[in-house]
Amino acid sequence: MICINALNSLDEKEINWISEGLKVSYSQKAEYIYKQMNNQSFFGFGSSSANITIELDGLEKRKKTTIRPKGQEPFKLPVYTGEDDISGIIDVRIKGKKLEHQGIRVELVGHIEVTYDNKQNSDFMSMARELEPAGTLFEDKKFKFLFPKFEKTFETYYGKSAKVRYFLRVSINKQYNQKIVQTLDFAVVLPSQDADKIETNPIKLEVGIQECLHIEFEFSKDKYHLKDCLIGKVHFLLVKIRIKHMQLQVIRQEITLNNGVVNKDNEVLVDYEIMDGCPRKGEVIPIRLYLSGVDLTPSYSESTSNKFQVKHFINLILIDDEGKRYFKQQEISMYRKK
Amino acid sequence: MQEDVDQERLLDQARQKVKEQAYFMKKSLDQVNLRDGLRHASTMLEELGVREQVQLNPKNYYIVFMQIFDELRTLEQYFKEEYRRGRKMMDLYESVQHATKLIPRLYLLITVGSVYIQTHEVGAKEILLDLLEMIKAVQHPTRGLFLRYYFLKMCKDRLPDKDSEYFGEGGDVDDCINIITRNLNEMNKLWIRMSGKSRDKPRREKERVDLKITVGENIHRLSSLEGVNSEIYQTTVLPKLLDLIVSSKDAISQNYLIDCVISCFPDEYHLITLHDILGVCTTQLEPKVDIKSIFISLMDRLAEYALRSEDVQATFNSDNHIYSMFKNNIDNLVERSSSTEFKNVLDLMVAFLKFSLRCYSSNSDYVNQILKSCVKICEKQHEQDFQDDCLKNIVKFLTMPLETMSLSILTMDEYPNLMKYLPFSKRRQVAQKITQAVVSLKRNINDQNIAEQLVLFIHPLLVTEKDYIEVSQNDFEEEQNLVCKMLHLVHHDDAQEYWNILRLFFDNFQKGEIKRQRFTYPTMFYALAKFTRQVYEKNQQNEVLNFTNIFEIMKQLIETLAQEYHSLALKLYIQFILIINEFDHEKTLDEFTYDIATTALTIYQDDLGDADVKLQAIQVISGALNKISCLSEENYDTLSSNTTQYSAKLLKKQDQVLSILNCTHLFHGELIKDEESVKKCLKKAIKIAQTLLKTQNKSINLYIYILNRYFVFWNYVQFDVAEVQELINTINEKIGTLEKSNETEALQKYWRNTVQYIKSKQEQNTAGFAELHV
Amino acid sequence: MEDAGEHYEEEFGELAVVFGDFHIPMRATDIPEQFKELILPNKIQYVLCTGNVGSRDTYDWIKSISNQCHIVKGDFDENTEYPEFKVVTIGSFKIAIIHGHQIVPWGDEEALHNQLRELDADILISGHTHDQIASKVDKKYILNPGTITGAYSPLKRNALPSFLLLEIKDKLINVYLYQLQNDEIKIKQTTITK
Repeated sequence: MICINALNSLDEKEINWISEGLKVSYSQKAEYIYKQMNNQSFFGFGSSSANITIELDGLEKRKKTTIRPKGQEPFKLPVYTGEDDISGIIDVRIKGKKLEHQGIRVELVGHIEVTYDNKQNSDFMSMARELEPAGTLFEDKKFKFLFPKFEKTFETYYGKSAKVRYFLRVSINKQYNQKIVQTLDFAVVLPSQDADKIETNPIKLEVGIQECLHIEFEFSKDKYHLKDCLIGKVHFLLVKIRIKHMQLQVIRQEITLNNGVVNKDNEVLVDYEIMDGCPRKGEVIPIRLYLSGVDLTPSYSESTSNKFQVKHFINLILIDDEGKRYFKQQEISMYRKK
Repeated sequence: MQEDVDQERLLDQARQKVKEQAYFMKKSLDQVNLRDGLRHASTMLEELGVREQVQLNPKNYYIVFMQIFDELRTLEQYFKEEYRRGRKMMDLYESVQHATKLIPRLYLLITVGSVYIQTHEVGAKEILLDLLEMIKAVQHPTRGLFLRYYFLKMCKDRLPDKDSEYFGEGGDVDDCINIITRNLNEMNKLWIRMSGKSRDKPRREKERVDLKITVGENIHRLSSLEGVNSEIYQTTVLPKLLDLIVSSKDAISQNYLIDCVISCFPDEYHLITLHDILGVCTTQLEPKVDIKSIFISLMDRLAEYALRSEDVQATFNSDNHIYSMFKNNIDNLVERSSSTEFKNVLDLMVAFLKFSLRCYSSNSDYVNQILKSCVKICEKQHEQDFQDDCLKNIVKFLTMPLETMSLSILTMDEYPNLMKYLPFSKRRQVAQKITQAVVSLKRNINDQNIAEQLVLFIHPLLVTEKDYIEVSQNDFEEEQNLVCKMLHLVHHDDAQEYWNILRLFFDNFQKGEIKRQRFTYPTMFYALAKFTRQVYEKNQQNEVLNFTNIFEIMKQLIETLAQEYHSLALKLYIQFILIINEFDHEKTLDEFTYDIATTALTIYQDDLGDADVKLQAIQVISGALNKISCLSEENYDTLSSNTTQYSAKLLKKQDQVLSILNCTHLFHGELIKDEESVKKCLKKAIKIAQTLLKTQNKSINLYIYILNRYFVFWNYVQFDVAEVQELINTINEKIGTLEKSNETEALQKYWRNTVQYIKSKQEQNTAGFAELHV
Repeated sequence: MEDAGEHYEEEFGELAVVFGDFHIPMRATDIPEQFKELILPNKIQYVLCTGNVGSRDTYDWIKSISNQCHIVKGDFDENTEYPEFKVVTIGSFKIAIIHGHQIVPWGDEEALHNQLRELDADILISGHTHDQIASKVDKKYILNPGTITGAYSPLKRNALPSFLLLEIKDKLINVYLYQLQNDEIKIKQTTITK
């Protein structure tokens, strides 16, 4: 059973910082956070303090997904899809004899973060349940909660410059605008509703440098699901340069707005050698890339969010024997299949 | 040099790394950790991939390849185990494709693919075609060739060949052929690319040749397909191969691949597809292709094949077009060759001749046609083109047919035309080989036309030609001996024909000088003697062919020899007398014979100097005269008394005695039985012996000789016993007084034997012996 | 097995081939192939040759048969180092070899016998007459191999190619007379005892 121990945190960045800084496995991390909490009392405001634990129902049976944020240790999150409810038990353990509060509530938050621009951060959804009206707790108390079939607009996404997070946030409001807060992340995946009906078009492009190189490449589709196989071929129509090899990259581009400036952040997800040596005119080189081996997410189009977009490209690179690179990018889109 | 050192270092590093990674791979696999196993396998395989700077040369690359090849067996084995543990092959097949490095990915894919086929989950054909498609990604010549070579090795037993477990659902023989020819086509393209166009082309071409077997492996594979029979070969395989070869437009490749085709597939296939293969060779290949060598190896093979099986031989003989196919194509080829290719063209013609001789061993017309082509080729050349190699080939044209066709070569009119292109030493060599062949055959020379051709062919041995070069005495002797041996093969039942052939040789011998006649004339002399015997036995004499005429020629022969070779002439004269004696019972040639004999005696008298030679000569003369009956008594008397006189004039007294003892037989021979003269002769011998005995006791040996000679005559001549007894007494008296020596010991033994002889004669009661006392 | 070895010795004795009057190439082309196939190197211990060999290659052939070759000089042998006669002892037999042209009258039995006495031998081998002979006179033996090539001789009409093979045991010699008649080998046998 995965138990996420709550942390009396004020700042969510703090959590991020911790998970950024620690190269430990997920379960170890949970333990670590727990220890942090016990040893340090700087969060504690006198006697009026409490520990919050959020326990999700049916966690053992739920699918987990591994999140691999850039430069961070991967971690696992439970996965909720379109029709799923989310429910669980919140356990509040008071420190001291009593806890005075202005109300205890649980929120389900969908949150977009853009790394370079704090202003862009926003909740795209939020639902709340009052667990206890303002009063005083004299003993530990457990609260059941349920968000049935909550609205899931976006998929969870952990990118380089943008994130889409879902989390539960339990807060005990106190006087002077003080809060005891505990959050628990989970993941939402949204397979395309009608993946079967997605219309794809083949990609066929002729590119080249005049009198030097002339190739035509072909991919069977422009839209791929995450476990798809990228199949294509490259025809060499004219080869006058001494090509050394050819690679195929799958690039993820995150497009964000930074103070009104469009910021594009490219990340090469895979760099796949597809040809060794120099072909002669007329050769056709096959391409087959199983995407299951690539850590992919669905693309985010502009229409789904005005905060950021995630685009995917395939990039065909030819390298000649002097190290010069010739490339051609072509956008593809990724979607999730049930 | 630096390059070599670098290569050495690179190879060491690569091998070390492969060893290391293979170790880790196996360790991971032992722990059933496929993920790490594949990771190490990949790293290991990177040694066959792209390098940053210097590349291993093909030879060293091959070494690393083989090392990795062995290590990959472990991996293949592991894949099989994985499958048995329930792993889906499809997953495995996909998962190895996640490797981002191309070369490791493809090697792994082939390895999994091989196992995949074995599971029968997917048809062999489907997987093989997929692999074939994927490996197109490697366009680098060396790496591509090896990758595809690996593919070939791995799919060796996984093809849906006839009788294989994969046949049927996994594909059929056509698929096998398609898969392999496709691979061949790709490999050939890669291989051709190795040459490049750069400055170091020679080095690259050398490296290229190092890798040819990888390409040839495809053809080998095709040839070992169970499902390929002669029909499929003819209708499918060969057309595909030829098409591929022709379209490559690369000389090295065409050369090698045609060679491969010829050497990999069975000869019976070549036999039925000869037309196609020859046609392509002569008309569709690149100018630089050494078509001649291809023809040579093809002909060699077919000829061997024809020799192995009689059925095939029959096919060759029934289908004359096999010869004409070669003939037409070769003529075509020769037509287009430049004069600088003279030697190669001749090589080709030699091979063609060899082929023709083996496959059509009795067809001399074919050989003649080939010779004719050669004459044409030679006509186009300049004198300086006839280098030693070329001459050797021309010698072969002239001598090779001898081995199988022997004398029928003599019916080929192109021989002399070709021979005139040879210098004397080679002509002599050819002539000698021809002679040798004729001699070895030991068949009678009984056709005048053939004899005339023969004389023409061996002319360099018969007369001193213009460009004659002296040879060593031994060689000369050997050569002339051959001619002589050949002459004894002349024979014909019809005297006139027989005579004509002998006469033909004689006419030619006459043109040779005395140094040749020294050998040829005595032989001719005996050949004539044999001829005479036939004429005599078959009673074939006529106006021209009679003893007088034949003997006249025989006489001439000896007369010529007598100018230089006295002893030989003398012996032949003596033989001559004996020969005449054989036939002339009527003494019609008395004067002629007498003349011969006196000539012989004159030689004895005038020309012999050496005492031993003289002694031997007089032995022979007396031996011969003893046998003679064809002289008149008068003439015989003259000869016998002269001979006896000559004997008495020998230098040593001892020799005089011995020789006179031989002469005793002149008076008791075939012609006369003159007892008195015998006695006189013996007495003369005793007289000389007596004078000797006065000075030396050991001369008693002569008494023993004389005594024994009495015994030789004992049955024919009535001797005075007292005379004989006196000899015995003298011997008995002296024999004991001799000093001991080897010589006297032999003498004493002779005497003991003589005594024993007398005693045994006495025991047998032989007349006259009883009165003798020993 | 060791006994078998001795037994073999006992059984087969030593072999000597006797031949002569080749007259190659003056009177004949070659030794008949059938004979060449019989007379092979390293099978026969002794060669006894009566001379008139002729060409060098014939000498080479003779010498290839055995390293114990005894050759005497014939009347047509020129400039050879070979002696007029030779006496060889094989087993308990003393064998004299001579060409025979020296013994007048040629082929005469008495004359040959005389020669035997002079050379103090048990067996006299001579050639010259081209007439194959094996005869016994007074406990002595006279052998003539004839001509191995069937060479022409005015002394003998239609001489057939012939030679002798002697199987020499301690006290006994088996004489095999080989003759080629119409390309067929005929063998006769006689025995010489001490």
